Amino acid sequence: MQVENLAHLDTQILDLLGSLDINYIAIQTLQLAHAQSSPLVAAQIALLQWDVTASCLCVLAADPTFPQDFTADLKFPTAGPIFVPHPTEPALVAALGPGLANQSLFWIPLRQSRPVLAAPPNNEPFPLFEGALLVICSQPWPEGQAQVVLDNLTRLGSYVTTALAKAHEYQRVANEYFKLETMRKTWHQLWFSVEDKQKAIERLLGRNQALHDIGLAINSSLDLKEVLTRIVNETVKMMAVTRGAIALWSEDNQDIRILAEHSTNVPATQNLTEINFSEVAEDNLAGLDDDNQLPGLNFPSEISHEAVHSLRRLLTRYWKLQATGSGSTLITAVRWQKQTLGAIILNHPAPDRSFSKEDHDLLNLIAGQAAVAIENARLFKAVTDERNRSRAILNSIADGVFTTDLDLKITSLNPAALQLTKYAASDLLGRVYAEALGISDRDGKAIIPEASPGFQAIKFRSATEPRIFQIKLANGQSALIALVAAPIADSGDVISGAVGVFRDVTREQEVVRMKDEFVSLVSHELRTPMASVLGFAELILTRKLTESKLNLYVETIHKEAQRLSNLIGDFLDIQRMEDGRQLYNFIEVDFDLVLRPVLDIFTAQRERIEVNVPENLPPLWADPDRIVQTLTNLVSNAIKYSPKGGQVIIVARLNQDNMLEIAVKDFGLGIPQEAQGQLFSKFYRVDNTDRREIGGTGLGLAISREIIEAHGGKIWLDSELGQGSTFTFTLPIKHSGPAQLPGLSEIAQNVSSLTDSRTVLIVEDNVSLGRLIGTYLEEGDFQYELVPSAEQAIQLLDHAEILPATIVLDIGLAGSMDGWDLLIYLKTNPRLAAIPIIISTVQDNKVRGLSLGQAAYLSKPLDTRKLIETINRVTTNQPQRNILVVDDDTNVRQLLKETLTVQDFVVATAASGEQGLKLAAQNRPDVVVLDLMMPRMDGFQVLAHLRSHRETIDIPVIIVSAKELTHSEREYLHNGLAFFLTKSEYTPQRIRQLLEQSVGLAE
Amino acid sequence: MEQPQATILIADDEDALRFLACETLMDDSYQILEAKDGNKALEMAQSQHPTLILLDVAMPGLTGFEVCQLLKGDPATADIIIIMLTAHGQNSDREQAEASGADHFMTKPFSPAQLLRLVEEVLQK
Repeated sequence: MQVENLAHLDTQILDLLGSLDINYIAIQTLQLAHAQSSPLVAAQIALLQWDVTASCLCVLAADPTFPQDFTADLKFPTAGPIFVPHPTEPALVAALGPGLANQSLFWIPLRQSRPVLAAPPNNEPFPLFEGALLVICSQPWPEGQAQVVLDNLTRLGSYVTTALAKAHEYQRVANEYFKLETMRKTWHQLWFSVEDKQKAIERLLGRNQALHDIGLAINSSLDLKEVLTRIVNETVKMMAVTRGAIALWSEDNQDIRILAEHSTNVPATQNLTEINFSEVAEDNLAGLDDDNQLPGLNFPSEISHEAVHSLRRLLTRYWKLQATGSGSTLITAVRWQKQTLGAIILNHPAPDRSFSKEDHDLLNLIAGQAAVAIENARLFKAVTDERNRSRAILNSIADGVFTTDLDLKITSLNPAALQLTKYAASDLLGRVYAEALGISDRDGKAIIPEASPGFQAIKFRSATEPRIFQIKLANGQSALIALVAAPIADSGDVISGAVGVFRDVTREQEVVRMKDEFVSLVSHELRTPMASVLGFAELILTRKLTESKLNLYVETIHKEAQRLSNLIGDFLDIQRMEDGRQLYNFIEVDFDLVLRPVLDIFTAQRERIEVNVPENLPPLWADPDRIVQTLTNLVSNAIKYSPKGGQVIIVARLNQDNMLEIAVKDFGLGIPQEAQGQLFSKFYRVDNTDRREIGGTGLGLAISREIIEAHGGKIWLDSELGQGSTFTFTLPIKHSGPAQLPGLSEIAQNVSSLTDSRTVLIVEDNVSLGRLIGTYLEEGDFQYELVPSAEQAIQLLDHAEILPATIVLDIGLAGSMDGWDLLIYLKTNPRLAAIPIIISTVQDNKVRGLSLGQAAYLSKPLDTRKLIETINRVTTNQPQRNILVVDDDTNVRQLLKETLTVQDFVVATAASGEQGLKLAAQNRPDVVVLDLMMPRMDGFQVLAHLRSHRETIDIPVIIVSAKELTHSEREYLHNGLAFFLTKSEYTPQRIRQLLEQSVGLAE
Repeated sequence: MEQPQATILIADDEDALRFLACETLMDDSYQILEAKDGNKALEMAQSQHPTLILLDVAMPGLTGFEVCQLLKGDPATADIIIIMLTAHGQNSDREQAEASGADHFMTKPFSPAQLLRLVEEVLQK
């Protein structure tokens, strides 16, 4: 009876279970219920659903005659399905109302208490489907018939419950997925509008692949197994056989796995699901390979030969199906579209249990149902994976992301949003985002609610362009953010709220402002002389002039054009220096050789200049041209700012720090105290009428400071208004021993002594970024101290008993000292010089940093892995040093490789310049040992390439060559920061010595 | 046609530009006064009461905007015609010049012929 009933309902039920559309399921349910009851007795049918918010049962779908606003605040007193001939239960009577109360009814409670397919991650509550199927009949039922109908409705009810719960759950996950996907896309848009695309993608893919893989492992098909088990159980019962199983092929068709098994009178096979094809294949059961050995085992044609083979082994081995006495077996393929996923196997001990055509058809239908379940599980899993992936991305990105409802009240936030705003989630959730974050325009003026991106995103149903706003942080400070918003639409394209994505752009905006100011200043400085040049030229062209007047005009034009030209030259100089593109030609030079050309320039004023330089000063380590430029500028200032004449004194001496200290003193106007601090800034001139006649570009002192600091020296002034000024600067003297790059030797000391401490000092004025770096460091098993300014760093270091293992230093610091200033302070202080410094900056000033003795250089945004790697490298005692030898001579390569390998270097070799460049860019060796004379691309070209590419710009290069170098060639190599060793000088000790110098390896 | 000779004050801290303005206006027999900074410009405007001032914006001491504001705010000097000269061409400068009460506005570099035309036009009114 039951089998027949189900067979009657088969197609619709299959349809029902296959659908993920709630409305469709509901309507089908009504039809099916009518099929059970209406042929006998006219009935009104309703499918009810428990509404959590209203806390009552409401109509999900019902016949048109059924009151659509029917609600019931009861849960029917019986747990199971019931037939009530005449409702008397007062609660039920009250709920049904007078019109329905006196009729007989079927009440089938529908309750799904567990997730159907997969448990939601993170222990979230999941919605349970709860409801009832209510069939109200206009006539009384004979008792016996009612029972059959009740059974059939109950069975239908259980399918409907499963289908609805599955559809609900799918809906929920799909909606969440759409929401997350919107968030991810919005974030994507913001990120791509302001970030380096390639980097962003690489970083995300790298990080999320791991999370994704874990997600895959967790979401295994446990729930699919339950669904399939139910199918097998029902099938075995319906078909009146003793056991059944569903087997699935693995994706590569190599394994067969039994996903579900049921037996009524034989004990279930132990661990049957663990069996796979490879095991079975090893069970060499002789004589069972032949198809004819198992009568009754008819494998469907869709199942591949290999699968049949292993399936048969499985059955003979574990179900002990023998040639005789194994009863009857029916096998059907489980197929989805054109693909065979697996098979359903039924077995009965009676050999004469023949399977009819109906049996075959029914099993085919069941197989179809199994295929739908498998496909749904796959779909569900795909959506879940995507959701988890999106969630992982949102949790790991550095940009703040939040969602709101339609009232713009915040409904969720990612960790970065809290980190950026410094609020706790509870401070923000449920509040209108613009109020909660104190959003105003970039100048701090209030904005009307209609202008807020969230409002516009919802109103215009599209993502907004990134705009800059000011927000109030929890700590009372304000920050500038770039914010975009986008509407969140669910799978049905209904907008349910907005997503906002923002990033802190306070620093970027500050840079933009300074740049604007600078451009405006430059434009002013250029336009003023330009106005004279153009104006006088026009007068010459348009007026009749006397010769003396003409001369005067042309002289003025010449003077102003000269000024313009100087200005442009100085401007380019300072740009080059600030960008770190200025290469310095450091050589050993006597101070006399620097002073002489300066005095030659001022021949006309020579009698005013007094020189007080002791004999036997040690030679300088400096770029003589740049020092001449600096000294000329200072002397010229001294003369210009002494309008009434007066002496200018140049003094040089060796100071306590063993630096050469050079002072230029005048007795002129002097500089007011309040102006002294800004004197070295670009275009700064003392605001005094008397000085305006003096001219100059306003860049001289800024350039001088750049030059002196690039040498590792300092420049400062002492002045009193009306008494004159003294400008003093220091320069390093030539160190004893072989030539070396300034600063590099300090790195060598770093590495040796400071491994006992695992504390890293972070100097970063963007505190949230600093903390972020800190958390990266903690993950890398370091501790950290964070200070926001150079001054505080100095204070901390001066009082610290244990010095930090390394310092991660930001360059653009707020306050009077920037990162370069701090770096110079650290490197010139004997107690601190040994601490390795890692520069983290958005500026690209590698060469400058290198010449100042930093240990490593990382550009922002920081790459976590690289940061930890770098810190480990600079703090480790015995780092592994990689050397790349580039030489076309096999013997030389071999010799160097052997010599260096013995000395614990890891050596790679390249036989040509091209190959060398490729390896250098790929492996970033610590040192490149380079031959000059090579065919096609010679060593000079290789060096030029290395120095012009970001990846290789700071790799030290040692030239080993037999070539006799000309002076200009030596200078070229020197400018490329290369060491030089002639092949005749070459000894294993010498090359090691050079390597140690260049990579800073401790002896 | 005999008109009283107009007095023009040229206030600019750049020697070359002051010289250029003087040369541009010289042929028309105006009486030319010169000031090298904002404070001197204000002082001369108050004591000499010129007909017109060519006023540079970026000067040491009082800026051109400040000088203009002070002169226009004082009934005794409010009638002096002020032409503002600036090296910045930004709109904000023009707005600021208008706000400070300047009558006209000229951007460096300027054409002497244009300046001359403007001055003649302004003085004929």
